[in-house]
Amino acid sequence: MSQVLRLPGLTAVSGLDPEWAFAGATGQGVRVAVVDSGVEAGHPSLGSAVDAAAGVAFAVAEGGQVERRDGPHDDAFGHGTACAGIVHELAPEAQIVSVRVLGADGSGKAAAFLAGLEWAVDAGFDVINLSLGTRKRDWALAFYQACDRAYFAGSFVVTAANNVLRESYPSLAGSVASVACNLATDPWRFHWNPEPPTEFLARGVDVDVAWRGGARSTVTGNSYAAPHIAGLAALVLSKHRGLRPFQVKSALWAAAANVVEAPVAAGRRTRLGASPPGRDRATRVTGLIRPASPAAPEKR
Amino acid sequence: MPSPTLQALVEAAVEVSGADRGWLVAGGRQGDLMALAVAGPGGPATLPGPIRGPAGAVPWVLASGQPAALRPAAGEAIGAGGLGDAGPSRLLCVPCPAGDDVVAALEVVDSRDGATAPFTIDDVEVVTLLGTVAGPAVLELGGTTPPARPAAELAADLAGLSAADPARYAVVAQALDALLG
Repeated sequence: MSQVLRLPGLTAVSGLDPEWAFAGATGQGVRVAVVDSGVEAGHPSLGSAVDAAAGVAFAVAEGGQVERRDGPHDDAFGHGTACAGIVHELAPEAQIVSVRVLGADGSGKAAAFLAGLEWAVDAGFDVINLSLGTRKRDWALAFYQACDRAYFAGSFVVTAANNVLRESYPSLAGSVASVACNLATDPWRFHWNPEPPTEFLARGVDVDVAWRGGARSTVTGNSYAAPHIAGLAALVLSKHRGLRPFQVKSALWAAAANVVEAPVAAGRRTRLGASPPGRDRATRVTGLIRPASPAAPEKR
Repeated sequence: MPSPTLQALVEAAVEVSGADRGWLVAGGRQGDLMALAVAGPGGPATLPGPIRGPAGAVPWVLASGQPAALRPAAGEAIGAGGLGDAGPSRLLCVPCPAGDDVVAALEVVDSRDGATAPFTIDDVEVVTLLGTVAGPAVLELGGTTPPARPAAELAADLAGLSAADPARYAVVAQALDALLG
């Protein structure tokens, strides 16, 4: 349980900035669960970041029960390795554990996704990256409950917003950080979205990533934006241990490009306003963000 | 004989994305995959037909409901097996949802003009929209009435995309007009 009563090194929330959030941070001491297709632990781009022995795989058997298998496993597709690689690139000393919820043939079901998420919550991971989801409304409550449990236990859950304008769970939950693409080429350049449920925008277009078979690939999609925020969250938590998820979100908000670069009234320092991410064309995103016009109106 | 509707959707996906070829693959009850339509060179002589061997991005798209847009490593046999050469230079595979389920995947690969740049975010949006239309069509083939998205909702999506790039989405609009009457 966190004992943080005041944000360390700060006397006011307005003091939050990228320096406070990230400077000197490496991800050391932070555990990140990648709930996905598996992670290729021996990939040359991952170094020794992946604890293969701690991995776990979930699958739904023919009878409908979820089966769990502990220990090393491979990546059924490449997506999990890509997400792990992005986290590692940003937080090189964070420890990554693979939670595979897609079968050897790439198949997967909501029950397995949920089981993987719940396992990661029970295991007390600091950050949980879930670039997958389900459309099935029957599963929505179960995912909301799991994410709430993660939130109150102190696990920061990062999800990918759906790439199409359809409901997807748990990306709509308020207890997670839902992420869509911006058009940045810099992995450190991310934005806060003032219009939830998607709350952050990160690099997700033409991203060079680790892929299975020791290879690399160029990929596009919200599911690659989410691990950017996961990696940045790992940095925040490695520098400021014990922060609750809402505090991590606040730190990320304060470090977002459109918050840092927001116009400030003369004689007054404020971070309560944020300019829309239009300068980076970040309003051209997939997922649940649909700008009314190419340049969204400024909000103060 | 492939469904004319599905064939038109695959051809539209290939056309608007600048791909060399594409196909629509349905997920079966027991994890088997069935090719329902193919556009461009290659592919089985008879459709629909089962897919043997590795199916690349299709199973992941069916399971995750997320699109896969990637430029694979050289020689990686990631395209749906048996429907083209191994190792496409670029790949875009999108889900075809019907209600809460993803019933098929629409995949396009390579480039008809030899370009090697990855499929763009615009390509993802347009092909995803076609996949959204394909999902209920796949269900109808099976004789089940699909829970279709309201026409007004689809029209609003297309209107939004058209406002951003009218010329690009004109082909999509023509295809939908022809299909929906």
